[in-house]
Amino acid sequence: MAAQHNDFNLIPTSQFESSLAGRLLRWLLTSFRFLVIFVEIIVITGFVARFWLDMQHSQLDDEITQAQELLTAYLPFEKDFRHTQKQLETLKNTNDQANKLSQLLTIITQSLPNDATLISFNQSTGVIEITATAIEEKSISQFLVNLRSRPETAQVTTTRVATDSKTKALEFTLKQMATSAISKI
Amino acid sequence: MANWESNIQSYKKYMFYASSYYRKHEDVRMFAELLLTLGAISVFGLFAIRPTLTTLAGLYTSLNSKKQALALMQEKINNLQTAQTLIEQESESLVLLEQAIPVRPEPDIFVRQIEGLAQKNSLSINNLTLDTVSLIPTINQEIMQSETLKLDLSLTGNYDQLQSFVQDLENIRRPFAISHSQLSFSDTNGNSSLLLSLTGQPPYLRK
Repeated sequence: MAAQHNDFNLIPTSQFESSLAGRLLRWLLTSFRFLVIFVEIIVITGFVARFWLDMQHSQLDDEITQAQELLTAYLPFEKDFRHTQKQLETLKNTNDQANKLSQLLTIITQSLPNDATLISFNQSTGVIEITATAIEEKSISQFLVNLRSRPETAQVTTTRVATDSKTKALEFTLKQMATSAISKI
Repeated sequence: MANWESNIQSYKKYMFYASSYYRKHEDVRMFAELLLTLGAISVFGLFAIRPTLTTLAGLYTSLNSKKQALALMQEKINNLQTAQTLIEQESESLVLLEQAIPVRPEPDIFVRQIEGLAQKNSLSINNLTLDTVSLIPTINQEIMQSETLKLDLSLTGNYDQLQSFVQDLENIRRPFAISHSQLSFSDTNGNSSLLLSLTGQPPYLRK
């Protein structure tokens, strides 16, 4: 005859433990208690951290106030310095934009052949117009070649050639549009 | 029987069934505890943890932005100190800069300089015209905005004199940006000479 095994629990079970109130109390004393402790840890940590952060804030506020006072004291100097910077910028821009007329005149007179005469020279915002007379057509070509050999007047072209009725000389006009080379002279 | 009494009876019946069902089934008891735990976590999270963390995060962000502002201010102070040292070192050059780009138009000084240069190069001035300029800044005029004094000038002389004058003018301390120039023959009373017309704008910068 096979032995019959029965499960016996010798600890008497309390009616309260299995009741709703008992289980609720057990939950309150276990899971809920740990939850409360966890939340308290977070809140207390936050409270302490807030003290530390407030201290840092206060320290930073003091430093910012000091820096502001220092910057306020520097304000007139800053204004003067910005003015000086602007003056330097204006000076640089004016010098960059300015055409060196003396150099341009030197280039033209050096390029002019012996039998050619300069009648007029006109320069406005980088556009150069030269009017001259020459006895021979060869001189006009020579003048053109001489001018084109210089980077400042490399783009020069003939725009007009006419014969003077009195002197029978050739009157011609050369023109160069604005180029970067001219502005850099 | 009144309607509310019958309702109470039916609710009592439901509660009795629910209570006996809860007692009999272990899984229901377990889920009920789990629900209670989750509920508690939610309530604590919403009313205790969230405000604490929000406050801390706000304080931390504010602290960081203040640190950045202070760093910028310190950088500006350092730059200003460097600038002050530089200005002290270059104080002699700054006097020349003030002459080159004055704070007022100073047309009288510039005209005198032009006259001096013409005299030096033995040139005769045919015309010297200045555009209207306000010597005292008006209310609408922008501060720290460079302005120019427009000047038209025509001179008579020979080529070398004019070339020398132009060179002097280009090297003058106050920059004279020539926007237009014209060189042509002039024949007055049988005396042929060269006529040079110039238009330029010496700048100035109000403070």
